[in-house]
Amino acid sequence: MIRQKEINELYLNRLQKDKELFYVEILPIETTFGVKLIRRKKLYGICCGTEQIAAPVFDEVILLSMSIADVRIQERHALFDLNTKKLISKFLYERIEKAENWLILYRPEGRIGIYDLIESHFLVEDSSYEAYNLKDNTTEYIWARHGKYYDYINRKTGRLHTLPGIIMAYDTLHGLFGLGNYRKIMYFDECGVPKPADLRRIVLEAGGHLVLNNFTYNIQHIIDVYGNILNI
Amino acid sequence: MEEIFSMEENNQILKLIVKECCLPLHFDEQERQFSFPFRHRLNEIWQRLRPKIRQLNSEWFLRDFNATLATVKFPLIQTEIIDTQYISNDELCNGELLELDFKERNTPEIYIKMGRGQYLNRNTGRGYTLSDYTVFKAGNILLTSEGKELGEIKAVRLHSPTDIHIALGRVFLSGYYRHTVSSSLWPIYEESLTAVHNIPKDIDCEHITKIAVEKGVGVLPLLSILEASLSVKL
Repeated sequence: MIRQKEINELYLNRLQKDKELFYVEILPIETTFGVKLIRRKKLYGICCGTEQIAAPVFDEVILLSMSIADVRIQERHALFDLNTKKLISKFLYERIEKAENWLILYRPEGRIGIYDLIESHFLVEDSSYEAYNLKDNTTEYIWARHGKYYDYINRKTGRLHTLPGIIMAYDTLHGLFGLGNYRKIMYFDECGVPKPADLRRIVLEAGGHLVLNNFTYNIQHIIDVYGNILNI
Repeated sequence: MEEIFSMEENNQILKLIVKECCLPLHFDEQERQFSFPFRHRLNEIWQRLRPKIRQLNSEWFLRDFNATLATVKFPLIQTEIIDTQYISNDELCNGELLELDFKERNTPEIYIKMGRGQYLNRNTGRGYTLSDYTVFKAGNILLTSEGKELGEIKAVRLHSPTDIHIALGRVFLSGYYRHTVSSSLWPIYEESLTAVHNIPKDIDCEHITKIAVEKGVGVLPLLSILEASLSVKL
């Protein structure tokens, strides 16, 4: 927290100095996604034509998409929105990785944030979840694992849905499925209430046996109308 | 993930026991019974399996092995019974077992759903066609599509397969769950009925098993259908 505050103050100081600076030559470095990465002295910024998008106050700038950049001051990273020309996160992260249509933001304490590049919003800004489903972009919900338990995040709204005692989650087009402690797979509503009648209906529609996958852990479970796993 | 592994270990032990101790589906003409009979010399099998089982679960002992064999021996009674307030014909999958108590009779009856609106009484081996809109609920009168009354329902229970049936299915009905459940299970019943009453000494259980796999049918519905075919007096 202290470090983040210090870096924030440094950022604001640099912005202020940048405004007061007499002319110092700006050097173009490279053009990516139609915008130009620039350098003044040892600091970096972003330009589009003659318009300044991000003032050259950062120690490093990496363009991640047409609308998002990874900006660094000292050892901390943040996200910068090229459209609004503003930071959209604090300088919290020790590194940011791109994984297909996601950005995974790692904090020093082991906490993670997830930014959805398609929906242009944070799915999780700051959490203690250790793993997420980032392999399948088609799912309505993304599972998130904390220890041995799983929750789900609505991909569109970013809303977290806590399911009781779920020890395995699945990548499904729709719905919330989870393996409970009684070795049966259940279907849940968004309040975390099991819905056995809905599970039955879904399995019947699938022909009496439903295939559930977790592509991150290469797990496939085939279940009957009772949620019994038939293939392990 | 640890919980998953623990569950898988227990399933692996069960599958190992079934695979090593049981034989494929067999019809005992003298006992008039379909079963997955035990191999001989089970004590020697236990001695051989013990190290492998202990690697998976160090808390497994002979008493656990014997207890497992006792449940495997009588799979038809080893079901998970689920009391149900209400279930309609459309909500049942083919192959599911429905136990009904009737006001008019003391003994519960088990019905196997064989097709759309079609049920097989496991106790008597008789088949019935019910209305598509049939609802199984206490207080309802069960009617066939011809209007015959089967009785007033007092209680409804579902019989879910358990780990035993799943393990037997994994070993002896390999891959049945990769098929959708067929829209009619009558071919299994007819095959068994013909074989049991015409050529009981030479029943092709392998063929019956193959039909069950292709129709997406697991061990519990298969044994139930076969049991029903034995109940028919021709």
